[in-house]
Amino acid sequence: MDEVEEFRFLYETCSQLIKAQENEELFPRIIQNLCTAFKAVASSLWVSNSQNGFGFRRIAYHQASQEIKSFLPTLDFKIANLAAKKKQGFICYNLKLDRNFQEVEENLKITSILLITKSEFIGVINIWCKYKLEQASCCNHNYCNNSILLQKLTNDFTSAIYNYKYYSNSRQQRLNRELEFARKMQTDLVPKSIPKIRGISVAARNMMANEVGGDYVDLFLTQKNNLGIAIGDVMGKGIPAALWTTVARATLRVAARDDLLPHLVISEVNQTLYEDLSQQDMFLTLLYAWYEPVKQTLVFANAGHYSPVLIQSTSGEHKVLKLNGPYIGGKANYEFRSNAIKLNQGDVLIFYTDGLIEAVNAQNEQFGLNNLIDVVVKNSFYKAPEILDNLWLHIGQHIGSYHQLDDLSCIVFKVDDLNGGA
Amino acid sequence: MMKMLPLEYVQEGMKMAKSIYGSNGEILLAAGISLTAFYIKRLKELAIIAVYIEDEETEGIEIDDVVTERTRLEAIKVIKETMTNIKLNSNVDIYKVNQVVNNIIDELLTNKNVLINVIEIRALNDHTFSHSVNVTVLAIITGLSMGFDYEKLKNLALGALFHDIGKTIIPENILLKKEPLTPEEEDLWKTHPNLGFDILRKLTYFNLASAHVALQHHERYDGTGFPRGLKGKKISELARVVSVCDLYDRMTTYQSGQPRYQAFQAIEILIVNSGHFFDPDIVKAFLGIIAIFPLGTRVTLNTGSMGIVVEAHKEYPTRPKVRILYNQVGKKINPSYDIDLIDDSEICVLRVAEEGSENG
Repeated sequence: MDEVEEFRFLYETCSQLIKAQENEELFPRIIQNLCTAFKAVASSLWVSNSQNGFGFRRIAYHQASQEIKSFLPTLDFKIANLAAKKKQGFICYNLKLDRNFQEVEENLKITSILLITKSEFIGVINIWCKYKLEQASCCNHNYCNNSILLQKLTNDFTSAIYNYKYYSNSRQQRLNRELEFARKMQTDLVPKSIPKIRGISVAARNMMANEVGGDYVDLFLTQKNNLGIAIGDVMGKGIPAALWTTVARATLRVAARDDLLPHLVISEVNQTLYEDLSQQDMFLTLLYAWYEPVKQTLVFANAGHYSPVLIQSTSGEHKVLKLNGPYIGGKANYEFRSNAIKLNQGDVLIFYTDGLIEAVNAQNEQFGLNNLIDVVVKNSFYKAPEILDNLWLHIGQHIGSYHQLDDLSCIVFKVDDLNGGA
Repeated sequence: MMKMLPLEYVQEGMKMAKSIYGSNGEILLAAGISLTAFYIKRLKELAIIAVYIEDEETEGIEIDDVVTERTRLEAIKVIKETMTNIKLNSNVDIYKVNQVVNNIIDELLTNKNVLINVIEIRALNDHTFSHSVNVTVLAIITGLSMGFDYEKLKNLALGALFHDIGKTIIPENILLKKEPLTPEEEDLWKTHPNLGFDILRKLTYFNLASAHVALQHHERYDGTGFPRGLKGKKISELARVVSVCDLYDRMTTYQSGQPRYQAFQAIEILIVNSGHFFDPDIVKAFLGIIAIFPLGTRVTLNTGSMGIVVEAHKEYPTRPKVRILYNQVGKKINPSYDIDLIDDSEICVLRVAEEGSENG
């Protein structure tokens, strides 16, 4: 591209981007033009999700050359995902030589540009080009000039998509931005790397009914390498509830760090939060369990939360681990109690919030505790992550496409069989 | 790839992706043919319950047949001939039977990492035959994963292939009866293991261990089975394998008048019955060779997007690779891309779509 062409391209793209803020359908055309201008084989645009759900979505993809095999869209997703997760754009001159992408057979150059504003992740642009040897060692060819052009474009794209996401249709959408922040923060607080402890498997997941919710689950290792398991539910919905979940989580983590017994942890959380909660007429349920792998014992205390269920997975016998206590924020200086149980091989513990067993389908039937137990027994040969996956599948089958009004959360804990699962 | 559609959802203009064979191995309807109203009517008359249809969305997904079509058809033919010969009291060609069993084992031996991924379709008239062959394939793969040697595999395969041979002597009106059997009829039906055993042990060169599979395939691990109410390890190991494969195949294949179980549901039934009907160790081995989400299963993910399973991972049965076809709002994605659930623990399968429906 010479300077005139470059200027024209920038001008056109910029004016199209302004229009695209109001009309999503224009993005594919912009990406197509980008593809042509850069003589790229393909290009795509990914935007972070603003409604519930997570991750991001592809709003434009254009493939100029049909020679490239059909793996490109998948590879494109992987690259965008990588850039989004690492919060880093990157250029790889020849992906074929990258050992992380062994499936790539073609000489492909990928330029992945991260769109970021005020440290907020907005989206990713991927540009796929054929790799040519001479490009790697020069500094006055098209490709080098292109990188300056790209920088200019990145700014235009970032502000256009930012505006498209938050300001396009109505002022209402401005709030989406804040909500999205909150949602992101909350989902980030669900433990992703589950602490690894020999002999047990654990898995946690939640599904919010709206952008943010009042459920919280947490798994962490204490100072003495025991496992802390916490689950809670703030009464009420929306942002106030969500704010309290983060407060509760932080307070509990501090209190539980030094392997304090659960009733002391819960009492501490209650004492710390009581005043603020009662002032706002808020309260929350909270259950904290502490697992000692050496003794295979679980000690737990409960502040008004649903009792966990212990299921002997192979025999199907189950026991609700009842232990009552008032809500956090319910009674000042209340002295909570702990219970301890010894766990055996094959024991599965399910911690959950009300949304899970009260999940309704279009016929208004609840999922129910019996179904929950049933699913665990039916999947007793598997470890916790598979049990959780299959539990989610059953809940999904149950609710169908019926929109849920409440958050669903669950932690599955299993003392694995010594013989190993299936 | 193709997708399987129950016949009631099949429409004119759709293209057959797999040939349909009659029980003598003849082609009834060849792959590649566009379906017309006449063909669809003919399929109904033949009591075909579902067919494989060519499908754009699943293009590029390869399903490797665990056993080649040729070997499968040969096996079906052999079992059919054997059953007819037994009815007519004429000789059974043991040489031919052995050869077909060896062929199946040899094919499976070359591909040790088999995961059962497809759903078989059969016409009503050859149901028993293809069921026997299916159970044989399942049993061999299970046996392989349990480390059986060749000799043991062969006995297992022969036993599996002929586990229902006793039914040749049971009157057809009982076998095909849709209503519940009367107590007398049930007693008669329950004699088929003994009848099968008697047939098989009289055959020259037929291994007694294999004959015991026919005798014991309705025994249950907890002793509540028949004919002898054997318990636990008193039931021959081969019969314990076959009884698991037998139930799984019956649950997951189309039979007229009955809804088919999704693989994940059938697996759960096996797990629930392990220790009761089935040897838990064998159920465990069996689960290792079966995909919870067979290729082509249409799923909805918890992200809201919909897609189709394109790859299953043996080690992570609940986390397949999914090709995303529709986004959160049901809009078609073109071109599609794949998400591998083993890469991202946040994403999981939320729903499995009913067969024949377009979206999940």
